[in-house]
Amino acid sequence: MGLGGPMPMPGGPRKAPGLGPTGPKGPKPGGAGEGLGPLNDGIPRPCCIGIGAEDGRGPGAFVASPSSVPISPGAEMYLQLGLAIVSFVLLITIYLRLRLHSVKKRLLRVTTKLCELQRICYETSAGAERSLRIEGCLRASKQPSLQRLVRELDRLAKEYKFGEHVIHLAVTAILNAKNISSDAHSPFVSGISQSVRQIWGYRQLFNRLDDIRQTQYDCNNTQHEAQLTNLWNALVPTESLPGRHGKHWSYIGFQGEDPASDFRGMGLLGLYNLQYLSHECGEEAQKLLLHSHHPSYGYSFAIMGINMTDLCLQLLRDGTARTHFFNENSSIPTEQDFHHFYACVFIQFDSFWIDSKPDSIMNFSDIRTRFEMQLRRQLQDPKAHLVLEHR
Amino acid sequence: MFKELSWVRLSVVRIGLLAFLRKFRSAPDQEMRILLLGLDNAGKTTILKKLASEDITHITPTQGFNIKSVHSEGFKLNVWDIGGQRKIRPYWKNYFDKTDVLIYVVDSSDRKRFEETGEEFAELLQEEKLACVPVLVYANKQDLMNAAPASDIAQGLLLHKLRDRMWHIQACSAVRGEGIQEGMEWACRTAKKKK
Repeated sequence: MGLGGPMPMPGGPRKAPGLGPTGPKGPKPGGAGEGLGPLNDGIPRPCCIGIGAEDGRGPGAFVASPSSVPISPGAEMYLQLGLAIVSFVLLITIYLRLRLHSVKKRLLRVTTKLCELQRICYETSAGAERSLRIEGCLRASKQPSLQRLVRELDRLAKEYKFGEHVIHLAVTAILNAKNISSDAHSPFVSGISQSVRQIWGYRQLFNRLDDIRQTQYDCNNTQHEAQLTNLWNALVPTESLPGRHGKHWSYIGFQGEDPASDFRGMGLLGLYNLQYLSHECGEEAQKLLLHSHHPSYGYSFAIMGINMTDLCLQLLRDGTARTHFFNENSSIPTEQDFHHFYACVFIQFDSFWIDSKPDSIMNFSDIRTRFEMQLRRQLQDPKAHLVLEHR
Repeated sequence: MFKELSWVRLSVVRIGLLAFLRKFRSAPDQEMRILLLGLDNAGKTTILKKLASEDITHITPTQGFNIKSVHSEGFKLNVWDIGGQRKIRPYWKNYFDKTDVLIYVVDSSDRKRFEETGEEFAELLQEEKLACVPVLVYANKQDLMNAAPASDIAQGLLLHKLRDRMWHIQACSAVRGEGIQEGMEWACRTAKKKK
C-alpha cells in the first residue's frame, strides 16, 4: 500500500526483562523465559540458546532455559540418526498399511469371488450407507475404464444429460469392467443402478440449483415479479399486496422497501425456496412467520430464509447433505426434494433459535454457527433423514 | 580445532536464523478497529470479503454482524461489518467504542435513498463516542451505469463542512475490487498519524 518506514512499536523498548548487561543474576525459579537471567559469566556457550518467552515481550532475548543443555556433536549425530530411523520405520508402516488394504481386497476377491462393489451391495442396505461407499469405491478405482466412466458421468451431470438411459449404460460398463454376469447377479444390478442414480442425480441437482442461484432477480422480468407477488399472497392471504414498493415488505421480513435487493448471491433460488415453503408447507410457514414477530426472539423471516438457502446449498456443495438425499428416495432427486430439505432445515433452525434465547438479532452469527455444527453432525450419520417437524 | 570451528560456524548460523525468525516475531501488528456502516445493500459485506480476499458470489443480507481480521501494511485490521437494515441500526452504537476509523459505505446508484443515507451519516457524526474518529466514505457501485460521482456524494453528505475530524471519500466498485485498496491506504496512513 506504499506505507514505508519502520513501524512504531507500542509498549516501550522491546527488550526482554532481565537481559541487560548488569552482571549475573541467578535464574529465578519458576519464571519461565521472563525471569531467567542471562548467563553473563563470561563463558561462551555455543548452544545455550532458547527462544524467548511466548508472552510477546521477549523478542531478541537469548535466554538460557534449563532444557537447552549443550549437546556434544557426537550426541547430536546419534540424535539425528535416531530421528531418521524413526521416520523411516513410520513411512514403511504407512506404506504397508496402504498395501494391506489392497492385499485384503485381493484376498476377499479370491475367496468370495466377489468384487468390492458387489460386496458393498450385498452387505449394506439401500440408501446412504450403500451409495456413499459405492461412490467412494468408484472414485478411488484404479481401473482406467472405471476412471473414464466416473469422469464421463460427472460431465453428463454438469450438462444436465444424466438420466435413466445413462444409468443403464453406466451399469453395463461396470458389469463389463468387473466381469460380472447380469443374470447371475441381478440383485447387484438393481443395487448398483440405484446408487449410480442417486450419486449422479445428486450432482446434477446441485449443478442445476447453482445455476438458479446465479440467476439474479430482475425487476423487469414479469415472471419474477409475479413470483414475488405470489410469495406475498401465500404468506399474507388476508391482505392483497399494497404495492410493489413500500414498508409492508418488512412484515414478511425483507430489509427495505424493495425486496429485489435482498436476494443477492442467492438469486432466484432464495425466492423459489421461500415460495415452496409458503405454498407447500403453508401451516409451517405461518408458524415461522408468527415466531419471526415474537417480541424478544423475533427475526426477519424472508432474509433469514435467504440465509438458510445459503446454508442448504453449502451442505449440498460439500456433499454433507448426501446422506439425507440418498435416504430420501431412490429416484433422481429433484428441485422439489431440495425445497423440502430447505423447509426441514429452516424449521429446525427456527426451533434452535428460540431455544437459544437470543438477546437480539446481533447474536445471529454465533447461533447460526452453532446450528450449522449441530446439523453437520446430524447429517454425518449414514441413516440421517430430515423430516418436517414443528412444535 | 576443525571441530571447534565448525561448531562456532553452526552456532553463528543458528543465531542468525533465530534472530531472523525473531525479527518476524518481534513485530506484532499494531491493531486497528474499523467499523463498516451504511444502509442495507450498500455493499459493506462485499467490501469486507474483498479485503479478506474471499469469494463474493454467495453473499446474503447481514443479520447481526460479521467480523474479520485482515493483515495489511503492518496493521492488523479488525473490521466490523454491521448489518444496515433499519431494524438493526439502533444496535450500531454498541460497536462504537475504541473505533480507530469509521468507514461509511454508500450505494452510489441508489439515488432514491441518498437522503436517508445522509441522515444516518449526520447522526453518526453527532455520536460522542465517534467524536474526532477519522471517516472514510466509500462511494460504492461505481461500476453501475447510474452511479453518482463521488464528488456529488461528498456534497450530499456535507463532507466539506466537517471540521472536527479527518475525512476522505473514495470512489470504488467492491465487486470489481477497484478503489478498495486506495481507501484502506488512506485509513492506515491516518490511523498511523493519530497513534
